Amino acid sequence: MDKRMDPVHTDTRAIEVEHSSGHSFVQAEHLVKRFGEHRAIDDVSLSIAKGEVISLIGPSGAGKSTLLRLLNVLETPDSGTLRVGDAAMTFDGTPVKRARVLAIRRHTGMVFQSFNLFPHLSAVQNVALAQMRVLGRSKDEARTRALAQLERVGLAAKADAYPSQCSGGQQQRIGIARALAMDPDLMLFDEPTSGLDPEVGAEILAVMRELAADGTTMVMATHEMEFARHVSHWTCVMVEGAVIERGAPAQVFDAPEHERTRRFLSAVLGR
Amino acid sequence: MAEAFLLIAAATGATLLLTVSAALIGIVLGAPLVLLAQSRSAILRGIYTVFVHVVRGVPALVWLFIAFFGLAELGIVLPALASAVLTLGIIAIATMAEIYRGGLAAIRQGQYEAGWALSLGRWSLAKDIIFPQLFRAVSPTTATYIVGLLKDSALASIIGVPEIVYVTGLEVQSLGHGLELFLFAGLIYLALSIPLGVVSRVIHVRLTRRYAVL
Amino acid sequence: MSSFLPTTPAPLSWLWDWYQWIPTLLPGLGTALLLTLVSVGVGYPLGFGLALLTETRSALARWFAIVVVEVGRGLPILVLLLLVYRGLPSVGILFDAFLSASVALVWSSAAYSAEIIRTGLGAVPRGQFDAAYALSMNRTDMYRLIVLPQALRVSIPPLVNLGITMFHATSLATVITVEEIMHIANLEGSIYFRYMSVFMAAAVIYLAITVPVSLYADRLAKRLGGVMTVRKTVLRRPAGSVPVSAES
Ligand SMILES: Nc1ncnc2c1ncn2[C@@H]1O[C@H](COP(=O)(O)OP(=O)(O)OP(=O)(O)O)[C@@H](O)[C@H]1O
Ligand SMILES: [Mg+2]
Repeated sequence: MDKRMDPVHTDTRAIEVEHSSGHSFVQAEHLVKRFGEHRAIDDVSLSIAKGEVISLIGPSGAGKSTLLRLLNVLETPDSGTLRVGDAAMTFDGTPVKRARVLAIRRHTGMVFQSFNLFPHLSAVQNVALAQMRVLGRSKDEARTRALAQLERVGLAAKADAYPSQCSGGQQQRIGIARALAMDPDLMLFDEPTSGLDPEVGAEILAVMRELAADGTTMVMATHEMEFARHVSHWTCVMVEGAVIERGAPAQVFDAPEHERTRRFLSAVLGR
Repeated sequence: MAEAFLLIAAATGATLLLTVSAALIGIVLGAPLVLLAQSRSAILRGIYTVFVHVVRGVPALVWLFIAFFGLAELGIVLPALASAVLTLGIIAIATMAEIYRGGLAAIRQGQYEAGWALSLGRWSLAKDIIFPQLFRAVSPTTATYIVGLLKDSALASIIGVPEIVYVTGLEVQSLGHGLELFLFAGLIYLALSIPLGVVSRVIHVRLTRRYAVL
Repeated sequence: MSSFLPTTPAPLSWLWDWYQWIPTLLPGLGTALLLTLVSVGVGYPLGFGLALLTETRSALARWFAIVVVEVGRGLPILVLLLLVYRGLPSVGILFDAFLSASVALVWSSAAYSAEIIRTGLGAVPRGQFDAAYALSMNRTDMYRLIVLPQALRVSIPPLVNLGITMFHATSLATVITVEEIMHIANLEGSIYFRYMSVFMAAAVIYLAITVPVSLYADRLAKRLGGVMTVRKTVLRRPAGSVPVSAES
């Protein structure tokens, strides 16, 4: 594989980190996350350039969600370093500084598997709230922008509906609009379609495809192999907390290097 | 007889006064108490657990006697009404804190995570996300509890607060007709609790019409 | 400054000498437990009957059950006690104090347990009834083998808590002269003017029974609730996810 073309630097235990920073927008090095004795993330390094789309695949329990949650510090790594844009943090087990965490989160938006919409707020209020409270936008401006984002995900008509009045696919699109309205530089998607019917999931994937085409930097954990293959620029295979293989999707899917990757792919692709 | 009915009905005011004061004390002071339960410090959580278990583990009558006879022995002489409000109020604080705790537990972790992922500050997370959901989640339980307080307030008759049961007892003593008069007293409680139940159901339906609570 | 204070025990002595009253109060605890046993042992089966009655087709039976339950739940227990002890004699029905307390507490516990059991039965999904019918089970077997075990999982923790409430409620029987804990405590307290100390002892006795039982109820609720939660999670496993065991 051509290392120069590989900005996804994810060697499991390798120490070498070439071309650190440079043009990478996200730089994670030697991240470790333990839950008790269990190493959910076991020395993962990753660097992502602006506009890239990364897919994380791997068996259930491999640590995909945990890795995403480390990237916006919803979980605090036990060790390692993380930089998103100009916000950098080093983790060594001591309590983290809130301001640093917030600086990283301000760059990121997250879309959850279970949507996590606020049930007591209408669609447009869901999208507007953080704009007003965090970015200090006026009510009118927040609403205008919220409507624009809802329009973008094809839900202008549902602006005043409450989450319970929306289908699962619509709820997830509201979730995407809510994250986008904060103008994030990095979007994190945690299996955004796995709670949905395949047909409805396709609506979401269509939205994500557009985001990718618009040059949004994205990391997504997904079980949608076709989508990972055709939309993402780079694919990482995670097993037991480590990234065991990474590369261009065509290469990972058609000529996997690792035996474990082959077994995983044959199980999910049924071949 | 007619006069007895009137006197008993008039005592409803004292019953309502007891109920409403205790409810307000509990609703307001239960909130800071539940913060102890949410604290990161195991000691503060322990204090919460002990307080709640001790207050709710002893019958209200015991607390009432302690507040009325016991405190007097220590030189703190409270009027009967004040003793009753104090007793019911403290029990209400512990109960409301438990109700709030249940409501908080019902709010999914994902709600907090969504707030954090959006960089919402602590205050905004509490005010805009958690509190509105908590309020809706606890309103039916709270209404049920207030009806419970209405009935518990009858205890105050034992130390001579002139509420419904006390006045009824006096009238029965002088006139007899125990069955009619106590049934009448019971009807007042039913009459008070049924509308409270209806009102709370209406409020709850209003609040949650547009969305499933959780 | 305090030279004219009468010589009473040290003002805070109730903090450490309360235990002296425990033996005096124990017979009262016996009475209280007996009353609790009666109200639970007689009240819960009646409550189950009332719960079934509220679901029957006969309007008369339904209304009877609803009135009994709503009066039992809507009236303060104190009023029920006085109604039985001081009200019924005016129509010629005379119960002694203990029997009056039993009648009032059974009524109350039957009414509350009926509501709890009704909720439990309502929590059993319709599909369970359909499945039992589809298997041609008779009604008795359906209730005994399918419905009740699931309903009880929901109902048992609140029924245990109701038992605690009934135990507490026995203290009210003091107003109709039943010689339970508070009756004795009040008497002793007034004789020696040592209210604080005696009531402390009473509180400790109540706590000694209540706290272990309510901790047990919490554990039970968690365990019984836990079974349900696990099942839900399994059902919610995302369609596309691959269990680890499938490929290893
Ligand atoms: N909060 C937590 N406490 C304890 N263990 C956790 C926690 N979160 C995750 N884990 C464990 O960490 C491991 C990785 O979990 P993670 O959810 O990241 O996997 P995943 O790859 O996203 O799986 P899936 O495809 O099922 O979503 C699992 O073994 C999981 O049980
Ligand atoms: Mg996951």
